[in-house]
Amino acid sequence: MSGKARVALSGALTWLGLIVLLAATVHWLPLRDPLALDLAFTTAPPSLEHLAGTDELGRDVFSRLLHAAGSTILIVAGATSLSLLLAVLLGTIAGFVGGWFDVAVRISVDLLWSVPFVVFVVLIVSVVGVSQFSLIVTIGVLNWVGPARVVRSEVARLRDADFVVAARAHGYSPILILLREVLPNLRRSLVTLAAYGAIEVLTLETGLAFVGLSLPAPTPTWGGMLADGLGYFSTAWWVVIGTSAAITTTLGALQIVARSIERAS
Amino acid sequence: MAIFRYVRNRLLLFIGGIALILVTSFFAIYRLPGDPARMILGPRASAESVAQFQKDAGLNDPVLTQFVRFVGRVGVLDFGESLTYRRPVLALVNERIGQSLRLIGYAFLIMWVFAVILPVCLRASGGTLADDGLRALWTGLSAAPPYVLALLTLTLLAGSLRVLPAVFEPGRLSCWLAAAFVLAAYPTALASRLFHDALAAAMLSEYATRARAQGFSEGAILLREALVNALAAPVSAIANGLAYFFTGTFFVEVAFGIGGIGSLTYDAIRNKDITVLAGVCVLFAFVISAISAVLDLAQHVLSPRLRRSDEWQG
Repeated sequence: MSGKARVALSGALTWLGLIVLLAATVHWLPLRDPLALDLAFTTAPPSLEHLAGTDELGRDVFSRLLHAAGSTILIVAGATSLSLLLAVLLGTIAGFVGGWFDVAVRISVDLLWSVPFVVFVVLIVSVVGVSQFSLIVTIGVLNWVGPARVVRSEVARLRDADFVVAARAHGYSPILILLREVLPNLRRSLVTLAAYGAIEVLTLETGLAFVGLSLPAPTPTWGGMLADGLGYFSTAWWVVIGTSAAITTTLGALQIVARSIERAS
Repeated sequence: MAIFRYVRNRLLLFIGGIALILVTSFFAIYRLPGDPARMILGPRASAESVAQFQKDAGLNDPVLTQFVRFVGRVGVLDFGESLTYRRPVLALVNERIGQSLRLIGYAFLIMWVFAVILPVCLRASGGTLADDGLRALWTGLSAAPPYVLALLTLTLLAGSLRVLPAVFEPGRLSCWLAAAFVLAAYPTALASRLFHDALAAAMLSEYATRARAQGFSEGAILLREALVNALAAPVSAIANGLAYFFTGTFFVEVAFGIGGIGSLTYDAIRNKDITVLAGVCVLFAFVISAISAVLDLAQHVLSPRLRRSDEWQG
């Protein structure tokens, strides 16, 4: 890894760590109440008192951004872990055991792959109702197909690798071989898949919130704040700029992480 | 024969995917959120009229019968009535589809111009630096999701510079182009990167070297030799972009306030208008799946290399 790439990677990791840290400790930070209305200070530009200005109801944008980060991180982490878990479980068995199970997994993957993902999520979430739980389950259960493809083909490749054949010749049980020889070799792919998965979920979750499929008001979400900002972008640009900056820097940091792991392998 | 097997499997997948969407929207409309009769007639309907409606609409029939009936109706594009507007879903879609198609058309044009035509012109006339700069710009723009890019565009062009009106005016081309640029950003970045790499590889190939040895200029080699060979890369990316446009138009229309299918979906989400939502989702899913099925098939028929990779792999 070149020096420049290393700096970019550590910058990205620092940013992601900082956001997670701030979101986790948001209740102990000296922030304004994200829901408190201050009608004397509606659409006030950024100042020392309101770092990112206030919105049309006088709520502090900076505080709302940080409070919104928590639920987004939870959904992104939850949905990404769920889909990776499913992908590893199904992809490993399909690739390692083969047979009818492999065929079944491949057909399900191809089938879900051919359905437009966003359309499907919009339909399900708007019927079931929006909550952190419903978003995590819907996105997680639908989004395992991409990673499962990768896991399955990696496992199928590893199955015939020399060290796996050797382990088999030693008489180790298949489960032990999977845990000790195959899965550790998937680590790097899994981290890359997790980073790309997080990008996808973050983009989708924010997009859904933007079109109204967000946690019920007044709970702040990044997408919801963006949708609010749409109403007064010509009078209070800082709402749009602040929220856009939060979304794009986080997405950008995830991109850098994903690419540098991918390149390093 | 492998090609026929591929075509058959791809068609089966297409049908399976549509079936999946149909089952989901069937349950969305008829099963999940309480009593559909109550939902369609409204909360103030009397118990008798609800019972009568349930009988007339066949809501007491077995689920399978209802599902078959639902599929039959969807087959003739009958998606029922909107719960908000009390009008057929298809009529609403018909009114609005033109706006969406116009936006997608502009975006498609922008993608061709900026991913293929302009780079070729610039490179052939020695403007390599301008081409690289343009590509970097698109890559930068595409890093933001479409809804973020849309809002930043509006804030800059309509809010600060005031070159665009704050409210979308269908009569102004600049409004359409601004929205189309946002919609086109991600696929254009992707296609121009692929095209650039393919072009660079073609310029290093043996036939390019031969042409160079024969004394042709770099510009001539680019146009006569490299272009045709490199064109396959952006063409498939641009075709894939079409499927992306149908999802992306949803966010872009909402942000810019264009009254197309995206806005219709947005209103349906806000009003919990499940029939419109399910109808639009089935239509979208059908269009997107059809595009990707046709593309897959076309690529397999056209490209001999892909035929060998019919075996499923990552």
